[in-house]
Amino acid sequence: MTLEFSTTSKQNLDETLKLYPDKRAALLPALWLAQKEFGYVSREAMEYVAELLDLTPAYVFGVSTFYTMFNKEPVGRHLIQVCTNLPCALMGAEHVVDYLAQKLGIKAGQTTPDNKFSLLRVECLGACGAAPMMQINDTYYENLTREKIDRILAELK
Amino acid sequence: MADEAKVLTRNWGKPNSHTIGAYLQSGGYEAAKKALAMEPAKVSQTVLDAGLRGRGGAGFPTGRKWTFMPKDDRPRYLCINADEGEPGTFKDRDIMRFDPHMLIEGAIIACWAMGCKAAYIYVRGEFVEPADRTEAAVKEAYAKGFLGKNIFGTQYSLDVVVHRGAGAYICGEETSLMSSLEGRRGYPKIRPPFPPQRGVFGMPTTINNVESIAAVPFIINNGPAAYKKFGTEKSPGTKLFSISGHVRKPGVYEVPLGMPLMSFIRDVAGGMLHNMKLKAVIPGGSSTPILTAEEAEKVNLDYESLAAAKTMLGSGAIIVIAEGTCLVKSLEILAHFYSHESCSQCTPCREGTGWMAQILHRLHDGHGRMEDIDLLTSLADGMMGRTICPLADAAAMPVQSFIKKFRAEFEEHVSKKKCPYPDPFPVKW
Amino acid sequence: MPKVFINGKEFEVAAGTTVLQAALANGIYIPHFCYHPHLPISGCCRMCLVEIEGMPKQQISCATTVADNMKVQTESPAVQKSRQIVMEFTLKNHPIDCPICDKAGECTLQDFYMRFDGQPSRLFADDAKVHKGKALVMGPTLVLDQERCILCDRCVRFMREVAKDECLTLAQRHDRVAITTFPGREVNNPYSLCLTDVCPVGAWTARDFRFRKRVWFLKPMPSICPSCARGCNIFIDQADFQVYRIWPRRNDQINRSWACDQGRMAYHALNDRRLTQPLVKKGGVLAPASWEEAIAAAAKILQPGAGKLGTIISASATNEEGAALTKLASALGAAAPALLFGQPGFEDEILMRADLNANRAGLEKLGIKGDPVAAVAQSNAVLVLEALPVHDLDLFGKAGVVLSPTHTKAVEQAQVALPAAAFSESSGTFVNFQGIEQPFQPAMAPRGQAKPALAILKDLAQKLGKRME
Repeated sequence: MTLEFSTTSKQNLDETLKLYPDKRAALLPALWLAQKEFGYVSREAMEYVAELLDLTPAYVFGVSTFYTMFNKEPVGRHLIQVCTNLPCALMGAEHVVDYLAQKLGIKAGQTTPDNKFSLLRVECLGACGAAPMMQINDTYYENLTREKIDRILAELK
Repeated sequence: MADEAKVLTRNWGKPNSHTIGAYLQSGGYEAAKKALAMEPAKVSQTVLDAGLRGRGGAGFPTGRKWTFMPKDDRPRYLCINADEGEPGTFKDRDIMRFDPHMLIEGAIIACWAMGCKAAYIYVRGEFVEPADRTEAAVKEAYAKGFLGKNIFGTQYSLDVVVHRGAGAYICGEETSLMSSLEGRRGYPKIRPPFPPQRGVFGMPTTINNVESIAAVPFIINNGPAAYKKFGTEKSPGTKLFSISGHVRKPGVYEVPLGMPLMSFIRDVAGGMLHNMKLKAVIPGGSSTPILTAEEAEKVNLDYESLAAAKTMLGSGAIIVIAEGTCLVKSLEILAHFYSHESCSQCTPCREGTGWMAQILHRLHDGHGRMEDIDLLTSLADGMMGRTICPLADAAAMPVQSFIKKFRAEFEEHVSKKKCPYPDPFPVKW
Repeated sequence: MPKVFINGKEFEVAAGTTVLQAALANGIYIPHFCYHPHLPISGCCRMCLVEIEGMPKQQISCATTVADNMKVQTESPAVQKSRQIVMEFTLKNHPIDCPICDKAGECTLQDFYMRFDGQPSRLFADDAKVHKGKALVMGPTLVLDQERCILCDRCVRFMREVAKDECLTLAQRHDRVAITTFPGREVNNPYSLCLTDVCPVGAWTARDFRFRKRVWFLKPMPSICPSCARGCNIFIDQADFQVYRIWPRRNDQINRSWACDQGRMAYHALNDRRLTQPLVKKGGVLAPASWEEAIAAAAKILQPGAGKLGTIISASATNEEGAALTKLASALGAAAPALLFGQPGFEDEILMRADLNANRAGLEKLGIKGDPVAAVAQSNAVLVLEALPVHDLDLFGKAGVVLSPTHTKAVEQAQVALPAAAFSESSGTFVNFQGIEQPFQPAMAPRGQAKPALAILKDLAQKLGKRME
């Protein structure tokens, strides 16, 4: 199965290319597009993007694997990233991880069998004043308590 | 004085402060119009006279930095560093969420001063809401003719692009930011050549922090003297401080530079959480040397005072640590962070950060040896000053300062063969 | 021209020279891994740090341009300390594979440890080294050991800038970073084996050479590659009268630091199927003979009056051999030599030339140019001087006296086959396609009873009572 961007994504990429004097600079935007459209940055996605931007697959592989937010494997529908850096740790981040792990029945780094949640430990998310906190997909959830977490998870489809 | 010091935060808290309507209503974009009627060199001079220093951590005079751009006819670029990744720092996020137009206006003025063709706002990938808000604000500005061709009806054309990162702290280093913007692995570049000579896409480039750029409209509107009313002689103006950890009111606060650190903690941030006793403070982001509670009593929040105390103002990220906190575990967490974030390009950092993290993990776990403590310091000393970029230094300084000032705690972990604290972090979650 | 003081000694250098280049050019060695004279600067290994007066931090000499009156220290205690520090970090995760690593004996890491480090390891047994891929077959020619790799990035730069095939990348980050291709893909490139040269350690090894010989038993001798008209400068590594490998010798004008895989692998022809003794056809079958017998048999075929004699010479023979054969042909009243140059091969903009011969330019300049097929057709007998690389020549039943280093079609069809030394076993001169004359000396002794072609031609002339003046 050969991957291809939707027409909208193709238009999006064409618009993006105009913003930079060099095609290569559209690589991160293109990889974000690929992740959105194909679910994750797979090997096929890397080869496809490479072709679109006149880069080699090896080059795109090197760039994709440098950045942690490009998922090289599929993740659950809701990717829960708990900050465990110092300011959050000071406010109990490890307990947040433990609570989520216990609640979801998985360890950090794993995905629930129904593919709904993945749980990850991550570094500083830049919201230290509201520690402990987590990011689920695009949204920050701050000042976490057990009750808040219960509510947030319950509301997620 | 502290209440008047609303250079950056004057619109925060107002409804829809992030929209152009609200910004224009509060007098926004007047500075841009004023600047566009000035000679570019005069604009740089004004910012220089105000004494604004780089708010990302380096503290270099912003107006002077702008003058480094060459006068040849290659296209010039401004990169705005919104990669905010230094642990403890979360101020630029709020600028972009609450007042992105102030940032855009500052960018317009800076670009005019330097003759830039475009400004790229490099936002860390995790900051979806701030990036979305900034992008929306950029669109609004284009729609009003404040960006694009012949802005504000002048001959000057300017593009602003929001570019998202994808998870790499190192991309907050200015040349790594450029590499990443160019679509490469986020590798810092060897200098020389320096960005004004050969920057992004090989063209003259200046990189400024979000907060530095956001301060510019005030300076143009009100003049250098008004800015210098705040702060100290060598550290004029206001600064956004991010405070986190064991305080009652963590958050982002704008205060004039020069306020005593303990005043800030007690009066602005509500004092110690649960009346805990202060143990240590990291004053300027995790990369800055840690202060004991005793030392914290003696410093002011400005560049000079903290430098004299052998630490740094850095990004102005204050992490407050109470008694009962295991500093070995704290250092282990930081060491793991720096190792994880090492771009891997140069040997001392790539291997040194990993090695230090390994040793600290073992030390906290109860499998440390006495010689590991001096080994850690030796590795940290070895990394410093021998790498392409300062990440190695940033990793080394916490190790050096934690061990120097809290050595007994490390020794206790070794002699007791375990962490002496029942829980490394005293706050009950 | 700026002046630079290195360890107190004054040197004048061209503008734009780096401190490292200035030092190396003047016999002052500064250790380095990632710098390579023919690759773009990286600056990542940090081994070349030096002290420069007026600069608070040590600077990497590979990327510091000499400024007038710059004062550099390359051997101060601070610089020596930096080298030990960088070495310690470089060795932190490096597997001590030396006992099983082909690079031992020509390994920069080993050499630098002995010369600039010498400190015992401070790595505690419980702090495990990072594990990565080992002995990964990366295509037809290469094996990669990601653990041994010191991340100098030379191979990535080589593939991108020189081979123009960006098939390698660094992947991942922090101390998990590793050199790799796109997963599942090979390094399949005419210059793949250059990676084994540019790699300072045993990360990239040649499948052909793995585990075959310890390099300290090998004697590298300078020579010129005959496989195409580029005339790359090479070293031939030999031991036990066998050739083990060919690798490039630096020549900034002709091949910089590179050689192609085709030229390297041609070393097999120096070992395999060599013609090592004279052969004379008896009863339709080639049988071993003494030199005396073979020369006598050859002289019978070549003597004037025995019929029309044609002469043919390989376009990879030397100028000296071309001149000698021309003289002998004239003395024998034979046709001037025809030029055997075979089919064109692959050509690119990097090194490889379509002309798969060492000396076509040189021989054509001597006037040697006829068509060998016509030469055979128009003659009753032919005297053929073949060389490596081999091009097929059909004698079409004509009586042949063939000088060759190896078993060829012509040798099989010959009446008399005389074992000639290969280029690696003779001296001579090649002229490359750029017109550059390159004399060379023998790298080793001829095989078995083989003799240099010039000596054989002299013997033939003598037997025929002719002088080759």
